[in-house]
Amino acid sequence: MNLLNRLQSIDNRLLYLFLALVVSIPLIFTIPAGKAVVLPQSQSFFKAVERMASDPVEQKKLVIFSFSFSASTATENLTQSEAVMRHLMARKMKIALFSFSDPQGRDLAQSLAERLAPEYGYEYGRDYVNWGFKAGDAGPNLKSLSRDIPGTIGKDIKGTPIAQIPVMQGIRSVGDVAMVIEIASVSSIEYWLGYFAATGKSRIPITYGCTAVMAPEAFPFLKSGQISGLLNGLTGAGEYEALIMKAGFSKQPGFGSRASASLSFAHFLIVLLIVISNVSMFALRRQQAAAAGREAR
Amino acid sequence: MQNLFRPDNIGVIATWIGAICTLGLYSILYRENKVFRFFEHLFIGLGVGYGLVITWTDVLKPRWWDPMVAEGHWWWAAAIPAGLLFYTVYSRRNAWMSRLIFGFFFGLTAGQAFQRYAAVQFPLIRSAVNAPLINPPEVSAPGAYWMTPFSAPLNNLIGLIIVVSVMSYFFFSYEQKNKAVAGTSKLGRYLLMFAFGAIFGSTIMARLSLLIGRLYFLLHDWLHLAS
Repeated sequence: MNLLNRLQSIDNRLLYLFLALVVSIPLIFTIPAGKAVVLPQSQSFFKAVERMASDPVEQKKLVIFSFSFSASTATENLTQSEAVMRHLMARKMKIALFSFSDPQGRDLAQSLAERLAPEYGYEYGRDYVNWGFKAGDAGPNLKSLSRDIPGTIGKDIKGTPIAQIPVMQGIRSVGDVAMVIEIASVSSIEYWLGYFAATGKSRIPITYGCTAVMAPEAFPFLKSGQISGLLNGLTGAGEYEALIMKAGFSKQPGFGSRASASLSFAHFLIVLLIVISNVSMFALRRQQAAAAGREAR
Repeated sequence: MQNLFRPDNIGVIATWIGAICTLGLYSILYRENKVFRFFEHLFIGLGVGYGLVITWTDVLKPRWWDPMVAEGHWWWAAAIPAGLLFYTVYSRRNAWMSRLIFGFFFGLTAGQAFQRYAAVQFPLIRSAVNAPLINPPEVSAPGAYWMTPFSAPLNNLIGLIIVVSVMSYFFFSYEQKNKAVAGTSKLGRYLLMFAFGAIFGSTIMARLSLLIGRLYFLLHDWLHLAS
């Protein structure tokens, strides 16, 4: 078997092993990274949060932070959530954690908030609250939420009536919401756009963090102005980490920045394998055609 | 045994269980095996069980059970026969009753979907159609600050060419004999392939991100090798 034939029949398991090695090297050894390139959609997200946090009227309102993902996409979605939550906590915004699409979102949100709260002086009930998971058809849930937040949510995850929680004082309906942040692995953004964003006197800004698979479908919402910013998978999370670091809201880079070298290495390997396999395939075909021609003569 | 489950050991035990589960699931990459099947079923069972518990603690108990049993709102009991109607689908004789409740929810969902479709899709269509080549509004729109007086019209022009070419590709009412139409349609086909390629590229990026997350867990949390 010549080299071209061998290249066409490499055992998949060898490729998996090679990929695992390539991804692991930047995680074990520190690879000096170049300057982070922040794409416009991530900058837009950051600026939307900054605009809100700089407005004294908006600062008294609530930010709904929706966790529509489970542990299976935590690498992308939880890394995005951490970067955004750090920003919100550094800017002292009131936060309501919420989950209507996946029950795991409830505890992923709580554990993240509990981990970051001491660093930013946040306290449960005073600065943030977890509304928990609200099952059922999201449409009626969010429509009802836009009219009557305490009535729709009822109690928080600790069983306290929402109306008795300090951070929820004065929060009644969509008019008391400064922004909705949707971090998702499913297309739940449409529920916020369809049933919540435009129900108040003025349109509520919606920002969106999604898995990289979903990003191509999300870009049109950005162009139409329906969302104010977009984080695209783990890359988007790394970009947001760079932005909050530059602004002084975080002291050290998060997982998104650390993983970006691994992601680049893996992309490089895949492109290399595609090129090698295509070149070898065309060369082999040419070789076979030449051999067939010689036999015919 | 009691020492093993001390609070400071729980984190270590959880990490070891996580590592064993991760390796068990990745064993499918070597070949189909019973270890993978076991962990696959374990994860599905855990996910469903977790969802049931949270649905009870966060939704059914505070919103239905407690008001009905403890607060005197007895009329919530009407939800029980309504809910049971779903299960009549398993009885051949009474299956017709399930159609009542299914019909009710189909109607409710369809009505909601109309509103969502209008609110979500109409602004998208408006933004795709309203793409002027001269003085486009994107240049001054909040949030779209990366658009310049040069890039915005160019962007809109590319968008216009893509929309026309792709739509001409999907026009099957008559044979595309005209060279200009056939050429535009062919361009549409290539542009569609570009879009599918971009989506597939994003999918690879997402899957690699998940792999990186798992490897980081194994190398950092379990083996303490990563920085």
